[in-house]
Amino acid sequence: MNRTLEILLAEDHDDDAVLLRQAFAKAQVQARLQVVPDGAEVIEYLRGAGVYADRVAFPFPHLLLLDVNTPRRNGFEVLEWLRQQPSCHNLMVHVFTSSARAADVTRAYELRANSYVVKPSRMDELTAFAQALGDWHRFVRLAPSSLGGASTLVSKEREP
Amino acid sequence: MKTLNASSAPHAAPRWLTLMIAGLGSYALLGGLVSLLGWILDVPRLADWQGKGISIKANPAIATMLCGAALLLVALHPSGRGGVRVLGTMVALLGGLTLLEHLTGWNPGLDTLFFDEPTGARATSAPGRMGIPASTSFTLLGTALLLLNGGAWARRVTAGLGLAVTAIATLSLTGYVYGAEIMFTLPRLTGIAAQTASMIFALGLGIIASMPDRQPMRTLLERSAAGLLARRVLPFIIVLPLTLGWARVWIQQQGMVDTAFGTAMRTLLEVALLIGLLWWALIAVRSHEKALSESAARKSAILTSALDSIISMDETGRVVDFNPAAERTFGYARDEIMGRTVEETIVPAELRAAHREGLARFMSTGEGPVLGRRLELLAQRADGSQLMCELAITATRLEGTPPFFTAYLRDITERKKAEAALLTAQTQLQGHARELEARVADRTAELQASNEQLEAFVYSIAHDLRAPLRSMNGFSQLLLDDHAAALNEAGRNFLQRIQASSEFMDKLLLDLLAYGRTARAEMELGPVEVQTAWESALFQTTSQLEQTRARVEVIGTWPVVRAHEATLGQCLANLLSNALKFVAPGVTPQVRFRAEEVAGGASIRLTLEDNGVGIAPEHQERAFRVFERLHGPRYAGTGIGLSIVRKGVERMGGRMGLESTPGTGSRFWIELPRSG
Repeated sequence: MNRTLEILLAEDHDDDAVLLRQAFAKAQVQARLQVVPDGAEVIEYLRGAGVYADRVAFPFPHLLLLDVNTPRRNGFEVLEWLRQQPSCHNLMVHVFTSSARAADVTRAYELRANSYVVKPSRMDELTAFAQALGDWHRFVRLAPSSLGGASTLVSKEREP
Repeated sequence: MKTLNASSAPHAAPRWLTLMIAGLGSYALLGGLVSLLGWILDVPRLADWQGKGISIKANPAIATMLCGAALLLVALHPSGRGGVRVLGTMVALLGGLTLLEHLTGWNPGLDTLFFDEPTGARATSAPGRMGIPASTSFTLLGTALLLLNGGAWARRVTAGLGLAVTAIATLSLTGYVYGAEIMFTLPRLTGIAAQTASMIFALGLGIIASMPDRQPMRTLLERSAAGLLARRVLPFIIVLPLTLGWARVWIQQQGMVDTAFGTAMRTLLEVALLIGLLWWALIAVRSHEKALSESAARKSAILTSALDSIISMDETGRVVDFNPAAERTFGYARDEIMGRTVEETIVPAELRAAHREGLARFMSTGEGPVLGRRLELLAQRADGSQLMCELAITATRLEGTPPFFTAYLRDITERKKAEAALLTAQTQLQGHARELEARVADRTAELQASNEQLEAFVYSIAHDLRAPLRSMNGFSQLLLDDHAAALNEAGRNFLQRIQASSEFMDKLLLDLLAYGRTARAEMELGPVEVQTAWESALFQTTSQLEQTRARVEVIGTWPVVRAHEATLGQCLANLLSNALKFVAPGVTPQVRFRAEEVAGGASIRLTLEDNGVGIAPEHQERAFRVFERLHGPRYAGTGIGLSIVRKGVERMGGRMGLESTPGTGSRFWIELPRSG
């Protein structure tokens, strides 16, 4: 299955976003990276609030790469919020952070993150990670209602 | 010495007294019955035992029986009060009516109610009528029986009546003994049969004996000198003159002596015997007195040597005794305080009203709530200063005298001071303890806070400092990868240096983080499979193992140690990494890992042996210091790896060591307690 991987990246370091984009390019993974700088904006994006209502420009992602140390609402808060949204249960969430603290790892899995990845600091490793993610996505089977669920969420949220 | 006269008469009748009353009652009952039988069976001799022609009448015989029965009731059946009263009433009526007949000449036929008698019987004023002594006695006896169980006043009267009856009977009996017929034969005045007199005498004695708490019995029963004297002398005083008198009469009747000589001899003998009696009694009294004075001396010694103050007070509150300890404690001389009131001397002003009220209350109601128990009260010395006393007060009540009180006091001012000091010390101590606890809590909180700050600091190293490094590394790599053609050789070399530096710094930061974690992170020890830890170490060094193509050999079994799994894995990984790293150029690393029991199986030693460059003995200690690097730039390292191992082993309660020969290899070992 050849399709563009829609990734939402929560990352406040612009450099890291650029490097990750480069890594996907080097790994030749067909991916589109939407970058938001903090947790609050992740939630807005997923809810399709404000500018993110335009799902053509800002499609509901296949997976979320979430740094736990983002400003405003941090990654854990985003995870908590996600678990209260039944329509987002299909969203793959990979914590992608520089913290290797055991407590952070434990907490992330408690909040049912799909995986926890410590950011590689070397470029070749970052490329390898991008490659792995692309490979994995080629084989993984996402829930069919993944996108539809999100639009339901959007309409529901707008009703009141 | 009032305190010494504590003994008083026993009021409960002793057993012999009860038996005596019963005996006297029985005598009267049986005597009366025999006499009455004489009338019933018409056997005159039974009513006139002496045969002098003066017989007991039927009515006194009945009265005697009634009185005898009453006395038996008194002695043997203390609850039969009603019966005694009924019998007494009957006897009193019988005696009283007969007496009335004598006084008025009225004759309602009472005397011949049961049995008639021919006129002119001896010592008889009217047929069948008992004489004046008997009727008087029965009136008195009946009244005595009526009052026998009454109040204090009635009982006093009863005892008096018993005495009176006894006296009347004695009069007649004496007449019989001496043959003084006038004393029992005058019909209108003294007529009485001998058996009647004897039975009335017995009844009078019985009445007296029934009143042990009344005079004269009380004195007779007393343990005092008076009682002793009375018991010893009384029988002789009664018997001696009677005997002597009888003997004297008899002798004169025999015509042996004339009146003057007989009287002289009798008087002489009597005086001699009485003096002897007195002397005998005095001996007894003296020995009694001696015993008393010995007892008094003992008690006085106790009073004198007592360490506690002993003060006695009479019922008006005046001091009647004051021992030397009291003199010392209160500063009054005994002579000075005797006769003054306790209230004006040792009771402090604020307690005087209570003292007065307490005394008044006891005197009126007999209640003394402060008596007989331990008290703590303030007292006052002669100079007006106050002291705290521990005291107990007893009241002594003797028959017939007002009560007095004895107080035993102990000065507890010092003890109170010590107690107060102790209390203060305790309070202070508690205060200190609380302060200390608070301080410890504060310090703990501070430590906690500083730990948290450190944690945050370490975290910011990890997160914030590494971010720019990632950028440096990433972008220099991108430049090398994608834009190398735009640079010359020197430019590419510079980029490589930038990249190498950033990588080294990243590794440094990671090692520092690991060290911080090992040194400070919470570490819960538990059973750890050595195999698991070793496999984790192999995994952590995968790339190094692949690059060096090292040969790794494992010897021995896989025990379980008490450790922290991640830390042990990290330690082994660091050791393994060093073993792979520090080899001479061109040498393939050979590593041998061994786990074995030491210290008799209590510990497990993990040994890692390599074929590396080794560490000279003089440098071995330095190897474990942070940032200490023994080998030159040829060997990339941060100098933290062994520090982490040492810290980790330390925190797991183990120990570690190193044996090394430069050029041959090193042997690092870790010892940890065995688990299970």
